[in-house]
Amino acid sequence: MSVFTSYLVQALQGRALEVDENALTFEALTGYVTRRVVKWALNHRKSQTPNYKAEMIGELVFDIPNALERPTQAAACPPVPTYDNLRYLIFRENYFASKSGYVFHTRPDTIWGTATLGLSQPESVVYSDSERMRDKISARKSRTSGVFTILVNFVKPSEIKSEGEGSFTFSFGRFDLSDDSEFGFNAVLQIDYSKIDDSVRSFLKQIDSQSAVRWDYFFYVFDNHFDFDLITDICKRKSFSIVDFNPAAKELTIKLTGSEKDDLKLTFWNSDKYGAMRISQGYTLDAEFLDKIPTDHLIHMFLPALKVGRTGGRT
Amino acid sequence: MQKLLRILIGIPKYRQPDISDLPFCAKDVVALRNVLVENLGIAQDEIQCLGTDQSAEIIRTNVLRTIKYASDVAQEENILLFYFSGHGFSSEKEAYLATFDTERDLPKDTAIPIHTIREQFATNKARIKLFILDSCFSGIHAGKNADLMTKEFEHSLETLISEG
Repeated sequence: MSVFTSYLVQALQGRALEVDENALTFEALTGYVTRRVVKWALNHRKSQTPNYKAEMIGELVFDIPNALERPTQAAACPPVPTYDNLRYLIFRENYFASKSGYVFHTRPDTIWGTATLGLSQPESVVYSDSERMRDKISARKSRTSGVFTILVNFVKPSEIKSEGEGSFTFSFGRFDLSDDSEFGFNAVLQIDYSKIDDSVRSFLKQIDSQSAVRWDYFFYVFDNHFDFDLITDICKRKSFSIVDFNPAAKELTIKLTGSEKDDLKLTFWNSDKYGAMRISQGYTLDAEFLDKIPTDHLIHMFLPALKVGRTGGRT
Repeated sequence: MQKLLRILIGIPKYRQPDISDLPFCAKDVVALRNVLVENLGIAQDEIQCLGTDQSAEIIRTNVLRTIKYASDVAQEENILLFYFSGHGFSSEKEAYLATFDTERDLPKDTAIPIHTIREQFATNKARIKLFILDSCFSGIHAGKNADLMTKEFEHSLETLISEG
Protein backbone atom coordinates (compact mmCIF):
# COMPACT_ATOMS: atom_id res chain seq x y z
CA MET A 1 0.00 0.00 0.00
CA SER A 2 1.04 3.58 -0.39
CA VAL A 3 2.12 5.37 2.75
CA PHE A 4 -0.63 7.94 2.50
CA THR A 5 -3.43 5.43 1.98
CA SER A 6 -2.18 3.07 4.67
CA TYR A 7 -2.47 5.85 7.25
CA LEU A 8 -5.77 6.98 5.79
CA VAL A 9 -7.07 3.44 6.30
CA GLN A 10 -5.69 3.35 9.82
CA ALA A 11 -7.50 6.56 10.66
CA LEU A 12 -10.79 5.27 9.29
CA GLN A 13 -10.34 2.01 11.18
CA GLY A 14 -10.56 4.07 14.32
CA ARG A 15 -7.00 4.81 15.30
CA ALA A 16 -7.55 8.54 14.93
CA LEU A 17 -10.57 8.49 17.20
CA GLU A 18 -10.58 10.07 20.58
CA VAL A 19 -11.40 7.85 23.52
CA ASP A 20 -15.11 7.03 23.82
CA GLU A 21 -15.95 8.54 20.45
CA ASN A 22 -17.29 6.91 17.32
CA ALA A 23 -17.22 9.92 15.05
CA LEU A 24 -14.13 11.11 13.27
CA THR A 25 -13.94 14.74 12.28
CA PHE A 26 -12.31 15.82 9.06
CA GLU A 27 -9.75 17.74 11.08
CA ALA A 28 -8.87 14.70 13.18
CA LEU A 29 -8.60 12.57 10.06
CA THR A 30 -6.26 14.93 8.25
CA GLY A 31 -4.26 15.55 11.38
CA TYR A 32 -3.68 11.86 11.97
CA VAL A 33 -2.68 11.17 8.38
CA THR A 34 -0.45 14.21 8.12
CA ARG A 35 1.47 13.51 11.30
CA ARG A 36 2.19 9.94 10.37
CA VAL A 37 3.03 10.53 6.73
CA VAL A 38 5.41 13.32 7.63
CA LYS A 39 6.98 11.21 10.36
CA TRP A 40 7.40 8.33 7.96
CA ALA A 41 8.90 10.63 5.34
CA LEU A 42 11.37 12.10 7.78
CA ASN A 43 12.41 8.67 8.99
CA HIS A 44 12.93 7.54 5.42
CA ARG A 45 14.64 10.74 4.29
CA LYS A 46 11.90 11.63 1.86
CA SER A 47 9.85 14.74 1.31
CA GLN A 48 6.18 14.01 1.56
CA THR A 49 3.48 16.12 3.12
CA PRO A 50 -0.21 15.64 2.41
CA ASN A 51 -1.92 18.77 1.25
CA TYR A 52 -5.43 19.49 2.40
CA LYS A 53 -7.72 22.21 1.19
CA ALA A 54 -11.20 22.51 2.54
CA GLU A 55 -14.00 24.97 2.08
CA MET A 56 -16.97 24.06 4.15
CA ILE A 57 -19.47 25.34 6.60
CA GLY A 58 -19.98 23.22 9.64
CA GLU A 59 -18.21 20.01 10.34
CA LEU A 60 -17.65 16.93 8.21
CA VAL A 61 -17.84 13.86 10.40
CA PHE A 62 -17.31 10.20 9.60
CA ASP A 63 -19.25 7.78 11.75
CA ILE A 64 -17.16 4.73 12.53
CA PRO A 65 -19.52 2.36 14.31
CA ASN A 66 -17.20 -0.61 14.01
CA ALA A 67 -13.90 0.87 14.99
CA LEU A 68 -11.39 -1.94 15.29
CA GLU A 69 -8.71 -0.19 17.18
CA ARG A 70 -9.46 2.26 19.91
CA PRO A 71 -6.84 4.21 21.78
CA THR A 72 -6.59 3.23 25.39
CA GLN A 73 -6.85 5.82 28.12
CA ALA A 74 -3.14 5.47 28.76
CA ALA A 75 -2.29 6.05 25.13
CA ALA A 76 -4.55 9.05 24.92
CA CYS A 77 -2.94 10.61 27.96
CA PRO A 78 0.74 9.79 27.70
CA PRO A 79 3.06 10.42 30.60
CA VAL A 80 4.69 13.78 30.90
CA PRO A 81 6.41 14.87 28.80
CA THR A 82 5.09 13.34 25.64
CA TYR A 83 7.24 13.02 22.56
CA ASP A 84 4.58 11.71 20.25
CA ASN A 85 4.85 14.77 18.11
CA LEU A 86 8.34 15.84 18.94
CA ARG A 87 10.44 15.91 15.83
CA TYR A 88 13.70 17.63 16.62
CA LEU A 89 15.72 18.77 19.47
CA ILE A 90 17.69 21.71 18.23
CA PHE A 91 20.71 23.05 19.98
CA ARG A 92 21.80 26.39 18.77
CA GLU A 93 24.32 29.00 19.71
CA ASN A 94 23.48 32.38 18.37
CA TYR A 95 26.94 33.53 17.34
CA PHE A 96 27.08 30.76 14.78
CA ALA A 97 24.12 32.20 12.99
CA SER A 98 25.93 33.17 9.83
CA LYS A 99 28.66 30.58 9.81
CA SER A 100 29.05 27.37 7.90
CA GLY A 101 29.24 23.93 9.38
CA TYR A 102 31.03 20.77 8.40
CA VAL A 103 31.22 17.20 9.47
CA PHE A 104 34.37 15.36 8.59
CA HIS A 105 34.64 11.66 8.12
CA THR A 106 38.28 10.89 7.86
CA ARG A 107 40.04 7.81 9.04
CA PRO A 108 36.87 6.00 10.02
CA ASP A 109 38.86 3.50 12.05
CA THR A 110 39.92 6.12 14.53
CA ILE A 111 37.94 9.27 13.93
CA TRP A 112 34.40 8.46 13.11
CA GLY A 113 32.64 11.70 13.72
CA THR A 114 34.13 15.13 13.98
CA ALA A 115 31.75 18.00 13.77
CA THR A 116 33.00 21.53 13.79
CA LEU A 117 30.72 24.45 14.26
CA GLY A 118 31.73 27.43 12.25
CA LEU A 119 34.74 27.98 10.07
CA SER A 120 35.83 30.90 12.15
CA GLN A 121 35.32 28.99 15.37
CA PRO A 122 37.28 25.80 14.73
CA GLU A 123 37.84 25.32 18.42
CA SER A 124 34.13 24.76 18.97
CA VAL A 125 34.27 21.07 18.38
CA VAL A 126 31.01 19.31 19.00
CA TYR A 127 32.43 15.85 19.00
CA SER A 128 35.64 14.12 18.18
CA ASP A 129 37.11 10.79 19.04
CA SER A 130 40.66 12.02 18.88
CA GLU A 131 42.63 13.00 21.95
CA ARG A 132 43.66 16.25 20.34
CA MET A 133 40.08 17.28 19.77
CA ARG A 134 39.06 16.12 23.17
CA ASP A 135 41.51 18.59 24.63
CA LYS A 136 39.83 21.32 22.69
CA ILE A 137 36.46 20.19 23.85
CA SER A 138 37.65 20.44 27.38
CA ALA A 139 39.13 23.82 26.76
CA ARG A 140 36.08 25.17 25.04
CA LYS A 141 33.41 23.20 26.79
CA SER A 142 30.46 25.04 25.44
CA ARG A 143 27.23 23.84 26.87
CA THR A 144 25.80 23.00 23.49
CA SER A 145 28.85 21.00 22.61
CA GLY A 146 28.61 19.20 25.90
CA VAL A 147 25.17 17.91 25.21
CA PHE A 148 26.08 16.46 21.90
CA THR A 149 29.34 15.03 23.10
CA ILE A 150 27.58 13.18 25.85
CA LEU A 151 24.81 12.03 23.55
CA VAL A 152 27.11 10.73 20.88
CA ASN A 153 28.89 8.68 23.48
CA PHE A 154 25.85 6.45 23.40
CA VAL A 155 26.45 5.74 19.75
CA LYS A 156 28.52 2.78 18.73
CA PRO A 157 31.15 3.70 16.15
CA SER A 158 30.00 0.84 13.96
CA GLU A 159 26.59 2.42 13.76
CA ILE A 160 27.82 5.65 12.24
CA LYS A 161 26.96 6.02 8.62
CA SER A 162 28.69 8.78 6.82
CA GLU A 163 26.43 10.85 4.65
CA GLY A 164 28.86 13.40 3.47
CA GLU A 165 29.61 16.91 4.42
CA GLY A 166 27.29 18.37 6.95
CA SER A 167 25.62 15.38 8.49
CA PHE A 168 25.80 11.86 9.73
CA THR A 169 23.35 9.35 11.07
CA PHE A 170 23.43 6.86 13.83
CA SER A 171 21.14 4.18 15.09
CA PHE A 172 18.61 6.39 16.84
CA GLY A 173 18.93 9.65 15.05
CA ARG A 174 20.69 12.04 12.82
CA PHE A 175 22.93 15.02 13.26
CA ASP A 176 23.03 17.87 10.79
CA LEU A 177 24.94 21.02 10.49
CA SER A 178 23.33 23.28 8.00
CA ASP A 179 22.93 26.90 7.12
CA ASP A 180 19.76 26.59 5.11
CA SER A 181 17.27 25.34 7.65
CA GLU A 182 14.26 27.28 8.77
CA PHE A 183 16.15 28.53 11.78
CA GLY A 184 19.24 29.77 10.01
CA PHE A 185 22.39 27.90 10.82
CA ASN A 186 21.70 25.05 13.17
CA ALA A 187 23.13 22.01 14.70
CA VAL A 188 20.10 19.77 14.37
CA LEU A 189 19.87 16.61 16.34
CA GLN A 190 16.95 14.44 15.30
CA ILE A 191 15.99 11.75 17.75
CA ASP A 192 13.85 8.81 16.77
CA TYR A 193 12.12 7.97 20.00
CA SER A 194 11.09 4.54 18.83
CA LYS A 195 14.72 3.51 18.51
CA ILE A 196 16.42 4.87 21.57
CA ASP A 197 17.36 2.54 24.36
CA ASP A 198 16.95 3.08 28.07
CA SER A 199 20.33 4.68 28.52
CA VAL A 200 19.68 7.38 25.93
CA ARG A 201 16.15 7.82 27.14
CA SER A 202 17.42 8.36 30.63
CA PHE A 203 19.87 10.95 29.42
CA LEU A 204 17.25 12.83 27.47
CA LYS A 205 14.94 12.76 30.41
CA GLN A 206 17.69 14.29 32.47
CA ILE A 207 18.07 17.08 29.94
CA ASP A 208 14.36 17.69 29.82
CA SER A 209 13.72 17.64 33.52
CA GLN A 210 16.71 19.59 34.69
CA SER A 211 18.96 21.04 32.11
CA ALA A 212 17.27 22.25 28.98
CA VAL A 213 16.72 25.73 30.30
CA ARG A 214 20.41 26.04 30.98
CA TRP A 215 21.34 26.23 27.32
CA ASP A 216 21.39 29.52 25.53
CA TYR A 217 18.81 28.22 23.09
CA PHE A 218 16.96 24.99 23.14
CA PHE A 219 14.28 24.16 20.60
CA TYR A 220 11.57 21.60 20.74
CA VAL A 221 10.12 21.20 17.28
CA PHE A 222 6.83 19.45 16.85
CA ASP A 223 4.93 18.15 13.87
CA ASN A 224 2.00 20.29 14.91
CA HIS A 225 1.39 23.98 15.06
CA PHE A 226 0.87 25.86 18.26
CA ASP A 227 -2.43 27.56 18.91
CA PHE A 228 -1.49 31.07 20.01
CA ASP A 229 -4.94 31.78 21.41
CA LEU A 230 -4.64 28.82 23.71
CA ILE A 231 -1.13 29.83 24.74
CA THR A 232 -2.46 33.26 25.61
CA ASP A 233 -5.18 31.71 27.73
CA ILE A 234 -2.65 29.56 29.54
CA CYS A 235 -0.50 32.61 30.20
CA LYS A 236 -3.45 34.48 31.68
CA ARG A 237 -4.21 31.61 34.02
CA LYS A 238 -0.57 31.30 35.05
CA SER A 239 0.08 35.06 35.18
CA PHE A 240 2.85 34.84 32.60
CA SER A 241 3.72 37.99 30.67
CA ILE A 242 3.27 38.27 26.93
CA VAL A 243 6.49 39.89 25.82
CA ASP A 244 5.91 40.03 22.09
CA PHE A 245 3.39 38.79 19.59
CA ASN A 246 4.07 39.06 15.90
CA PRO A 247 1.13 37.61 13.97
CA ALA A 248 2.88 38.07 10.63
CA ALA A 249 5.87 36.08 11.78
CA LYS A 250 3.62 33.66 13.65
CA GLU A 251 5.72 34.16 16.73
CA LEU A 252 4.72 34.63 20.32
CA THR A 253 7.13 35.21 23.20
CA ILE A 254 6.23 34.99 26.84
CA LYS A 255 8.24 35.54 29.98
CA LEU A 256 8.30 33.69 33.24
CA THR A 257 9.69 35.87 35.97
CA GLY A 258 11.14 34.39 39.13
CA SER A 259 12.35 37.55 40.76
CA GLU A 260 13.37 41.04 39.73
CA LYS A 261 16.48 39.73 38.06
CA ASP A 262 15.34 36.32 36.90
CA ASP A 263 13.43 35.58 33.78
CA LEU A 264 12.94 32.77 31.38
CA LYS A 265 11.61 33.34 27.89
CA LEU A 266 9.54 30.90 25.92
CA THR A 267 9.06 31.62 22.26
CA PHE A 268 6.47 29.76 20.24
CA TRP A 269 6.82 29.89 16.51
CA ASN A 270 4.89 28.28 13.67
CA SER A 271 6.65 27.66 10.41
CA ASP A 272 4.97 26.15 7.39
CA LYS A 273 5.95 22.71 8.56
CA TYR A 274 6.51 22.82 12.27
CA GLY A 275 5.58 24.32 15.55
CA ALA A 276 8.62 25.20 17.63
CA MET A 277 9.04 26.06 21.25
CA ARG A 278 12.26 27.79 22.20
CA ILE A 279 13.45 28.07 25.74
CA SER A 280 15.98 30.75 26.50
CA GLN A 281 17.22 32.15 29.73
CA GLY A 282 18.07 35.57 30.99
CA TYR A 283 21.68 36.30 31.81
CA THR A 284 21.03 36.60 35.49
CA LEU A 285 18.97 33.49 35.84
CA ASP A 286 20.13 31.49 38.80
CA ALA A 287 20.02 27.79 39.46
CA GLU A 288 17.49 28.08 42.24
CA PHE A 289 14.95 29.60 39.89
CA LEU A 290 15.67 27.00 37.24
CA ASP A 291 15.15 24.21 39.69
CA LYS A 292 11.69 25.53 40.39
CA ILE A 293 10.71 25.25 36.75
CA PRO A 294 11.70 21.85 35.36
CA THR A 295 11.65 21.82 31.61
CA ASP A 296 9.26 18.92 31.41
CA HIS A 297 6.75 21.00 33.34
CA LEU A 298 7.10 23.78 30.79
CA ILE A 299 6.57 21.38 27.92
CA HIS A 300 3.61 19.76 29.57
CA MET A 301 2.07 23.10 30.34
CA PHE A 302 1.92 24.10 26.70
CA LEU A 303 1.40 20.77 24.98
CA PRO A 304 -2.37 21.28 24.95
CA ALA A 305 -1.71 24.24 22.67
CA LEU A 306 -0.38 21.95 19.99
CA LYS A 307 -3.00 21.67 17.33
CA VAL A 308 -3.51 19.86 14.09
CA GLY A 309 -3.38 21.70 10.84
CA ARG A 310 -0.75 23.01 8.56
CA THR A 311 -0.05 23.43 4.92
CA GLY A 312 2.60 21.81 2.88
CA GLY A 313 3.35 19.96 -0.29
CA ARG A 314 1.64 17.07 -1.91
CA THR A 315 1.64 13.40 -1.27
CA MET B 1 -23.94 10.98 8.43
CA GLN B 2 -25.40 11.75 5.07
CA LYS B 3 -25.36 9.09 2.42
CA LEU B 4 -22.01 8.68 0.82
CA LEU B 5 -21.31 8.16 -2.82
CA ARG B 6 -18.00 6.39 -2.92
CA ILE B 7 -15.85 6.03 -5.95
CA LEU B 8 -12.51 4.36 -5.47
CA ILE B 9 -10.14 4.22 -8.40
CA GLY B 10 -6.72 2.65 -8.56
CA ILE B 11 -4.56 2.52 -11.65
CA PRO B 12 -2.06 -0.28 -10.99
CA LYS B 13 -0.96 -0.95 -14.55
CA TYR B 14 0.24 1.31 -17.35
CA ARG B 15 0.74 0.42 -20.96
CA GLN B 16 3.43 2.93 -21.85
CA PRO B 17 6.89 1.63 -20.90
CA ASP B 18 8.11 4.88 -19.37
CA ILE B 19 5.24 4.99 -16.91
CA SER B 20 5.97 2.56 -14.13
CA ASP B 21 3.29 0.20 -12.87
CA LEU B 22 1.97 0.84 -9.38
CA PRO B 23 0.73 -2.53 -8.14
CA PHE B 24 0.12 -1.16 -4.65
CA CYS B 25 -2.67 1.01 -6.04
CA ALA B 26 -4.86 -2.08 -6.25
CA LYS B 27 -4.14 -2.83 -2.60
CA ASP B 28 -4.95 0.79 -1.74
CA VAL B 29 -8.37 0.54 -3.30
CA VAL B 30 -9.13 -2.82 -1.69
CA ALA B 31 -7.97 -1.66 1.72
CA LEU B 32 -10.02 1.52 1.54
CA ARG B 33 -13.07 -0.40 0.35
CA ASN B 34 -12.68 -2.86 3.20
CA VAL B 35 -12.45 -0.18 5.82
CA LEU B 36 -15.55 1.54 4.42
CA VAL B 37 -17.44 -1.73 4.61
CA GLU B 38 -16.10 -3.22 7.80
CA ASN B 39 -15.57 -0.15 9.94
CA LEU B 40 -17.92 2.48 8.57
CA GLY B 41 -20.69 -0.02 7.90
CA ILE B 42 -21.25 0.90 4.27
CA ALA B 43 -22.77 -1.71 2.00
CA GLN B 44 -20.26 -3.10 -0.46
CA ASP B 45 -22.56 -2.63 -3.40
CA GLU B 46 -22.72 1.08 -2.65
CA ILE B 47 -19.05 1.44 -3.44
CA GLN B 48 -17.83 1.72 -6.99
CA CYS B 49 -14.33 0.38 -7.36
CA LEU B 50 -11.96 0.33 -10.30
CA GLY B 51 -8.57 -1.33 -10.25
CA THR B 52 -8.85 -3.81 -7.39
CA ASP B 53 -6.58 -6.26 -9.16
CA GLN B 54 -2.91 -5.64 -9.82
CA SER B 55 -3.33 -6.70 -13.42
CA ALA B 56 -6.36 -4.51 -14.02
CA GLU B 57 -6.07 -2.35 -17.09
CA ILE B 58 -8.18 0.67 -16.20
CA ILE B 59 -8.53 2.81 -19.26
CA ARG B 60 -9.48 6.45 -19.52
CA THR B 61 -13.02 5.69 -20.56
CA ASN B 62 -13.59 3.59 -17.45
CA VAL B 63 -12.67 6.49 -15.21
CA LEU B 64 -14.61 9.09 -17.17
CA ARG B 65 -17.74 6.95 -17.10
CA THR B 66 -17.41 6.51 -13.36
CA ILE B 67 -17.05 10.23 -12.84
CA LYS B 68 -20.04 10.89 -15.06
CA TYR B 69 -22.05 8.34 -13.12
CA ALA B 70 -21.33 10.18 -9.90
CA SER B 71 -22.39 13.45 -11.44
CA ASP B 72 -25.60 11.98 -12.75
CA VAL B 73 -26.81 10.29 -9.59
CA ALA B 74 -25.63 12.67 -6.89
CA GLN B 75 -28.30 14.36 -4.83
CA GLU B 76 -27.94 17.41 -2.67
CA GLU B 77 -27.91 15.43 0.56
CA ASN B 78 -25.08 13.21 -0.64
CA ILE B 79 -21.45 13.33 0.27
CA LEU B 80 -19.30 12.39 -2.66
CA LEU B 81 -16.07 10.59 -1.82
CA PHE B 82 -13.76 10.35 -4.80
CA TYR B 83 -10.49 8.52 -4.24
CA PHE B 84 -7.78 8.10 -6.84
CA SER B 85 -4.53 6.19 -6.46
CA GLY B 86 -2.16 6.38 -9.39
CA HIS B 87 0.18 8.57 -11.35
CA GLY B 88 -0.36 12.25 -11.90
CA PHE B 89 1.57 14.47 -14.25
CA SER B 90 1.35 17.78 -16.01
CA SER B 91 1.90 18.95 -19.53
CA GLU B 92 1.72 22.45 -20.94
CA LYS B 93 0.44 23.83 -17.66
CA GLU B 94 -2.38 21.32 -17.50
CA ALA B 95 -2.50 18.63 -14.84
CA TYR B 96 -3.62 15.10 -15.61
CA LEU B 97 -4.35 11.80 -13.95
CA ALA B 98 -2.82 8.91 -15.85
CA THR B 99 -4.68 5.75 -16.80
CA PHE B 100 -3.60 2.45 -18.37
CA ASP B 101 -3.91 3.79 -21.89
CA THR B 102 -2.29 7.15 -21.26
CA GLU B 103 0.34 8.23 -23.76
CA ARG B 104 2.60 10.90 -22.38
CA ASP B 105 2.88 12.70 -25.70
CA LEU B 106 -0.90 12.79 -26.14
CA PRO B 107 -2.12 13.80 -22.71
CA LYS B 108 -5.20 15.67 -23.85
CA ASP B 109 -6.50 12.63 -25.67
CA THR B 110 -5.29 9.80 -23.48
CA ALA B 111 -5.19 11.07 -19.89
CA ILE B 112 -7.77 12.69 -17.67
CA PRO B 113 -7.36 16.44 -17.34
CA ILE B 114 -8.01 17.78 -13.90
CA HIS B 115 -10.21 20.45 -15.41
CA THR B 116 -12.49 17.73 -16.79
CA ILE B 117 -13.08 16.42 -13.29
CA ARG B 118 -13.54 19.98 -12.13
CA GLU B 119 -16.20 20.65 -14.71
CA GLN B 120 -18.02 17.40 -14.01
CA PHE B 121 -18.18 17.98 -10.30
CA ALA B 122 -18.99 21.67 -10.60
CA THR B 123 -22.45 20.62 -11.76
CA ASN B 124 -22.66 17.78 -9.27
CA LYS B 125 -25.47 18.30 -6.78
CA ALA B 126 -23.72 16.69 -3.84
CA ARG B 127 -23.43 19.09 -0.95
CA ILE B 128 -19.99 17.90 0.07
CA LYS B 129 -17.41 16.63 -2.37
CA LEU B 130 -14.39 14.98 -0.87
CA PHE B 131 -11.49 14.30 -3.21
CA ILE B 132 -8.62 12.17 -2.06
CA LEU B 133 -5.83 11.94 -4.58
CA ASP B 134 -2.93 9.70 -3.68
CA SER B 135 -0.69 10.56 -6.58
CA CYS B 136 3.02 10.85 -6.96
CA PHE B 137 5.37 11.58 -9.80
CA SER B 138 8.16 9.22 -8.94
CA GLY B 139 7.23 6.66 -11.51
CA ILE B 140 7.03 9.02 -14.44
CA HIS B 141 10.17 10.30 -16.03
CA ALA B 142 9.57 13.97 -15.50
CA GLY B 143 12.94 15.09 -16.79
CA LYS B 144 14.11 18.62 -16.28
CA ASN B 145 10.71 20.01 -15.53
CA ALA B 146 9.94 17.77 -12.60
CA ASP B 147 9.59 20.57 -10.10
CA LEU B 148 7.59 22.74 -12.45
CA MET B 149 5.25 19.90 -13.19
CA THR B 150 4.68 19.28 -9.55
CA LYS B 151 3.84 22.91 -8.88
CA GLU B 152 1.53 23.04 -11.85
CA PHE B 153 -0.17 19.90 -10.72
CA GLU B 154 -0.58 21.24 -7.24
CA HIS B 155 -2.00 24.48 -8.55
CA SER B 156 -4.51 22.57 -10.62
CA LEU B 157 -5.52 20.52 -7.63
CA GLU B 158 -6.02 23.61 -5.53
CA THR B 159 -8.17 25.08 -8.26
CA LEU B 160 -10.11 21.87 -8.49
CA ILE B 161 -10.76 21.76 -4.79
CA SER B 162 -11.68 25.40 -4.43
CA GLU B 163 -14.00 25.40 -7.38
CA GLY B 164 -15.28 21.85 -7.11
